[in-house]
Parts: sequence; structure tokens; C-alpha cells
Amino acid sequence: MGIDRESQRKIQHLYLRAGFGETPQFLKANAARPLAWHVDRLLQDADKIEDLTAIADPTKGHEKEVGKFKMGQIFERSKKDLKELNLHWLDQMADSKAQLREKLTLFWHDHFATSVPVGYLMQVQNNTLRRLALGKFGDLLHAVAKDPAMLIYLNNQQNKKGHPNENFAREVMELFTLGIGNYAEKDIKEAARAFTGWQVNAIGQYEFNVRQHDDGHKTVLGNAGNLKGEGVIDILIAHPQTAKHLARKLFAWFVNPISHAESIATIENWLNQSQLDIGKTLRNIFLADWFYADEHLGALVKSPVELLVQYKRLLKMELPNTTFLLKIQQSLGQMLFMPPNVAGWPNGTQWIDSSTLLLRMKLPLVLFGADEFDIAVKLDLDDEGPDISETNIPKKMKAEVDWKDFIAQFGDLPEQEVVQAMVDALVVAPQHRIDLANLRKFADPDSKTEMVKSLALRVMALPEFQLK
Amino acid sequence: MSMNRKDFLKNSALASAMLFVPRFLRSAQYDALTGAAQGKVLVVIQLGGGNDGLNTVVPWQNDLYYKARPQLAHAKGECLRLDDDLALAPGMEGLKGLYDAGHLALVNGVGYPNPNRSHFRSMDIWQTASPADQYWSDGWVGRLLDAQCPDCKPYHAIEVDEGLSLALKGKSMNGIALTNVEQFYRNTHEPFFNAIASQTPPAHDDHPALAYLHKTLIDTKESAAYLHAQHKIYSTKAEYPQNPFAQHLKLVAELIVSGSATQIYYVSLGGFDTHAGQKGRQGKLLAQYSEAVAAFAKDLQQNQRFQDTTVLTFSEFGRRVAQNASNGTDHGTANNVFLMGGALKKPGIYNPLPSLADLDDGDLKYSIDFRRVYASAIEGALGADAMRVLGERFEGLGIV
Repeated sequence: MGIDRESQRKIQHLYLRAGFGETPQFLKANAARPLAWHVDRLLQDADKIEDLTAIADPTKGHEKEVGKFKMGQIFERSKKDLKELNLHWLDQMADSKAQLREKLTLFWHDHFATSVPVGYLMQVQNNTLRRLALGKFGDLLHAVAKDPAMLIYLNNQQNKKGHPNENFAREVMELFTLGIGNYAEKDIKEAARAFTGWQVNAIGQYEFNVRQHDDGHKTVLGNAGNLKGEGVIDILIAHPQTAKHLARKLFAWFVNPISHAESIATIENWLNQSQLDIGKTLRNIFLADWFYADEHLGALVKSPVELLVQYKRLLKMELPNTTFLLKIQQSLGQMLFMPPNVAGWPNGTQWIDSSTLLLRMKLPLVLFGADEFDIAVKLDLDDEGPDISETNIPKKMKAEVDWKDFIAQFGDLPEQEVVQAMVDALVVAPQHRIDLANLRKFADPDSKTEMVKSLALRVMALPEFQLK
Repeated sequence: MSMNRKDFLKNSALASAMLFVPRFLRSAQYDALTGAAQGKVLVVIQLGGGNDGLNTVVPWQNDLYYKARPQLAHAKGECLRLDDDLALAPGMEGLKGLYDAGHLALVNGVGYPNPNRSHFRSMDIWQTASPADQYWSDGWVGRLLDAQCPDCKPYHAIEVDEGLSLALKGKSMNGIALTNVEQFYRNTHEPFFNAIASQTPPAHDDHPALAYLHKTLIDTKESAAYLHAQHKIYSTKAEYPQNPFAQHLKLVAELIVSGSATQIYYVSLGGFDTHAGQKGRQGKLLAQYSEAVAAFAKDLQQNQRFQDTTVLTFSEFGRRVAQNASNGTDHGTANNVFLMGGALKKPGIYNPLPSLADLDDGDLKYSIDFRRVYASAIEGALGADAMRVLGERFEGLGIV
């Protein structure tokens, strides 16, 4: 039975945006189901919440300790922990049934971009983001504002009565809620005072230090009173600019980096009607006709992490060397838990330059042992990231791949139809620049199996495959 | 296609108010240099990790310096004296030679308001040339490329490294990164790459992301071919040290002498994050830097290209004035910047070191905004309009 290409493409689009892509075998088996069935499936599967548990809690046995958080006492900088945590999350993004929840966790990791060199604290934050990812934005914001890694990253440890540090107050308005231009410097100064005394204690938990809190009169965005931090957060949640800002961000991240006023206004409406309920809003987006408009299909560039996770999902890929996965993240410009700054990673075509495009086009061949990895990794400025010091990385990767199910999808097709079916299964972007005859020249003629494998590697090397 | 790209940028959530007018105010001088063998060249050298400027340009007569750094200070007798106040660190004879010949200008106390002590963030600020409280997603060299479009080519800005820094990423155009011209050529001219890149683009492509990817592909291939052809013209006989940094400068010299239309080269030397055991490590790095730069200058002089070349050296921050408990130094703020070239208008020590008696919580106070140094390089070295690149007017230094 032939599959209707247009509906197949819409389903692919949905899974690439709401998750990390689906396999050709899944797409083939479920292509006849309506989009609403797929949207329901994504949301139902997202009910499951799996915490990351890669890093053991280092506070065990220290529960009674008091005082202010100091790195190096209970919590150590650990490049090894950051590596473990990174790899665990990559695996979970690839393997979890709760694809939408993992995707949203990545979205919030970008939105609330944080980086501290203590793996356990990053894990705590990641689990908070995951737990609250699809609920009310307000609950998430309240939790993130008291998240230890965030408080440390944005210098709230130094925010004290009489000596305010404005870093957190500024970013919570500029990046997390209102967006730039929708507040005055005065609002930041006053809000910073409200967050004084919000600290992290010796065992890495939020603690309100009343002695360092400025409980004086403040005015933030027209709201006056002896505001506390929670009060400021509530003001921000209720502010109409927050829904606008989130609507723009959701559209740019899930739909198209080129903005579209009408659709963004619709999203803003849904956010307002649902008291900023992210799950409900996303459901509406995924059910909207315009979400599947031609101009949106393939309009986004897969981020490096999305690309790696998709490889893992498509082929149940396991690499003999895990440092390699980190080096790829570094070379392509997105290392988990190491966002470039509090504004998060650049989106869209900014992932692509000559170097990253060359590497992306070479990556499938390297991953699956057909080519050598001869790309040195650009050294980092300092040593705050995960451990990538290992040097004896095999030149030929030879990932362990379960090709069986993948090949089975193409095994019964006549040879001349395989390449078109492969492109259809793996590419959601427009195909008008793909020359099938040209691609076929790179097929391994040894056997049908080898032909399917070699074509898959080439299709995954296409510029079109980089788009979602 | 270019219309789409432009619309895309205009509408993109990433392109905001920072979108400048996409053209230089072109001077005759500027037109003459594009693609011309005699064009002016700017070489940016980035010392990654936060070079300790105070142990690079040493206040060898200042008691406060010796008091703040009992184990770390360079002994008076070892320093390479520049004048009655300042000296270069031991091992920097190469740079001292350039200073003596009038090819080096030293700018002290360079920084920016509200300094950030995180490597990443401060390097971002230097690479984007943004104010410290704004997050820009494109770099100043990239914007310099943007300003030349539609005549811009990726190879007008080359980073000699394994990946492309933010500094070289523009809004509509990126520079390219490579360490080996031949390998870059091979990687972009193997059969599969050829097959994909040779496909005739449709006359009209209304899919901006796809068009951008294919444009990058073709630009990359063309740049590789261009550089491959250029690089054959001149290979230097001059001697360079065998370390990667010196070899990277050697490649830059070869491309300059070959007459490549490249206007900006970007080269990095890392490892300056000397929290512990600083003396040996920084000494080694500074010697490496100084020897390589001296070899580079000599090579260009012998080929009559040094007078067209300006070299700007910076680090993302300096370090604290006082040493720490591990015979190292922690992250600080203001730092020195070096400008080198064969035709400097104002060589020597440009301004005095910030006071060691008047510190900002243990850090030097900056007196010169780093964007003034960029303005100087953009206008002086390249004859381009710095305002278009930096977004606001910064007064140059009159050095270049």
C-alpha cells in the first residue's frame, strides 16, 4: 500500500519538532493514522517523568551542615560528572518514550540557560525543568528562580541588602519573561532588592537568608509594596509581555525562526487563556493547520544535540567511544550543560558555517566506520566543561548499529525505488535540490543490504537532512 | 535568493535592532583593496584564557607590583626594559626587537564597563564587541564581512583554527576556519561533496534555510578552490618555530604574500588561564608568542608586505593584581593590547599603565574601551567604517 507522501511528511514534521524524529519503520506502520492520534500519543507518553540519576547526591551525611554554599566543600568541580550527566541525558533523549517531555527539557535548558561546573547541581536543575516542563509556566519560573545552579550562575549569592547584585533580576526580565525593552532600569534595581537573601546553603539547597534580605518598600513595574522575590515573580507571570515573549520564543523554536505575526498572536492567546499552560498551548500548536504549512517544513536547522539524538534513535546507535560524542557536540557548537551564555544557544541557520557543515556532511560516514575522524577539536578557553581530554579516540568509529529493522523497511522495494523511499523517510525539507540519480551513484552494489546501508549514510549526509 | 535571505534576516527573531545598513561607506582606498594583492591586512591574535598583562608588560620600578606579587613578580634585572616604567617579560626578545624598530604600539588599561570575569562571557563580549549587558549573536569580524555584501566572500575573513569563532560569524556572511589549505581543499572536493555542490540551484528558492545551507556549501567549495590556487603562489622559506601557533602564522604569511584577497586573519594561542604555577607556564607561552610574531614580521618584511599589515593582540581579560596562594593569578579585568605593523603612525607606549594604588576591588581600572582599539584597526588598518561594524561611534587611537 502506497503511503500518501504529504501526510507522511506532516507526521515526520510533528515528530521532529515535538521530539527527536521517528524511525522509518514507525512512520510506515502509522502513516495512516490521523495527526490528532499522533499528537495525543506524544502528550500521553510525556506523562512519564524520568529523573536523571547519573550523579549521586554528594550531600549524604552532610545534612546537618550549615552556612553558605562553597564550591569545593561538599560540591566539587567535576569534569567527569559533567561528562556522565551529558551522556546520560543524550541516552535518555534518544530512548525515552516521553519524547515531548525530553524535548521541552532541552527547550527550557536553552531558555533558562545555566552553567555551573558541578554536575550534581546541573542534574537537580535538569530534573526540575523536566518535572515542570509541560505545566504552568509560573510554577516553572518560581522553581527556577530558587534553583541552586541558577542562583549561583546569576550571582544571587552576592545579592545582599545594601549591596544588591542585579544579575538575576536583569535576566529574569530580559530573557526569561518580558523581553528587552519592556521594563526600566529602575525596575531591575528594585527587583534585585526583592531577591536579596535568596541563597544556596552549604548542602546545595535554596535558603532564604532573612538577615540579608532588604524588606523595604519597592516599586516594580508599577506594583508597590514591601515586595519579596516571590511577589516579583508573580508580577512577571501576570505581565502581558510575558505571554508575548513566550509566544515568540515557542514559535521560533518549534515552528519557524522567521516570525509570523498572526500565528504568534494565536499562541499568545492560547497562553493567556490557559494561564500560561505550556502543555495545553503546545497541543494547540501541534493541532493547528498552520503548523503544517509548507513554509514551516524543514525551516529549522537541527541543533547538534538534536542531530546526535536522532542518529541514536534511527539506528539504535551505540558508540564504542563516548568522548567522541562530546567532541562532536563541541565541534558543532552545542555542548549540553555548557550554553555559551545566559541567552542560550543561537538558533536556526547560525548552527551552520563552513566548518560545521563539512563536519555534519562527514559525520554519518565517520560514525558508521566508512570514513576516518580526522577533525581536531577546537580547544576551549578554560577547563570548565566536561572531560574530553581522552586522546586515543579510534579514527574509525564503527558505531554499533541495529540495522535490521531499518533495512527491513526498504528490503522489499525494487532497487530503483529504494533511493526515493529513503529520501522520503529521512528528509522532511523540500527535495527539489536532491538529484536521485546522483545519489544512486554512491550506493554500494555488493548486495541489497549494503546498498540500503550505503544510501542511508549518504542521505543522512545531505544538507537537507540537517533541516527539521 | 538574496532577497529571501535578506527578508529572512529582517524577520528573524535573532536579527534585531542590531541590523546595520549592509554596506560600507566605500572609499576609493577600500575599493582598491578588495581582491588586490596590495590590499591592507589585519591579523587578530587572541590569547585565550586571560593573559596576565601585568607579568607581560611589567612595571619594573613599581614597589606596589613587587608587594602584590612576592613570588610571581619578574626580577628587575630579568626584564626587557622599554622605558623608565615598563618592561617586557623575560623571553620576549622578539617583541622587544619589534618595539625597538618602531613596529609595536602598546595600549594599556584596555577593557569595558562592568567587566565580566567569566572566560566565556568576556570572550563573547570581545568577539561580538557588544556592551557587557547585551547578548549579541554575531561577531565584529562577521559584521565587517556583512558590510561588504554583495561583494563579500567567506575567504575575506579566515580563522586559522579547527572551528569558526563567534567573532567571524556575521548576520548574512561567515568567515571560514581552516588550518591546512590542502586538506580543506580535499575535503570540499571529494566526489560526494562535488556531486551535492554541483547541482544546479533552482532559479527561485523560497525556502530560506535550505537556500542558506546550499549557499554555504557552494561558498565553502569556492573558497577552498580560491585559497588552494592562491596558496600555490608562495610558500615561505622563512623559518618559523615548530609549534602550532607559529605554523598558523606561517600559513597567514603565505596567504598574505600570495596576494589572497583575505582582509582579516584570526589566530589564537590558548592556555593563559594560569591560576597555579603561573611563571613557568606563562613564560613558555609568551616566548612562543614573541618568537612566532617576530618570525612572522620578518617574513612579511622580506616580502614587502609588513607595511600593509596590522597585527592586533588581545586577551579576554587581564588578571588580578595580587597573586593567589598557588603562585598564580585569578581572573581580573583591564589588560594591555598590542598593535603591530610596518607602518604605525604612533608606535611605542601609548598610555601609562593603570594605577596600582587605585584599584577596583583588587583589579586594574580600565581607561580605554576595547572598541576604540577595534575602531582604530577597522579604520586605520582596513580603511573601513567602524561605525557600521560597532554600531556606535568610538574614537580611534591614531596608532594605525
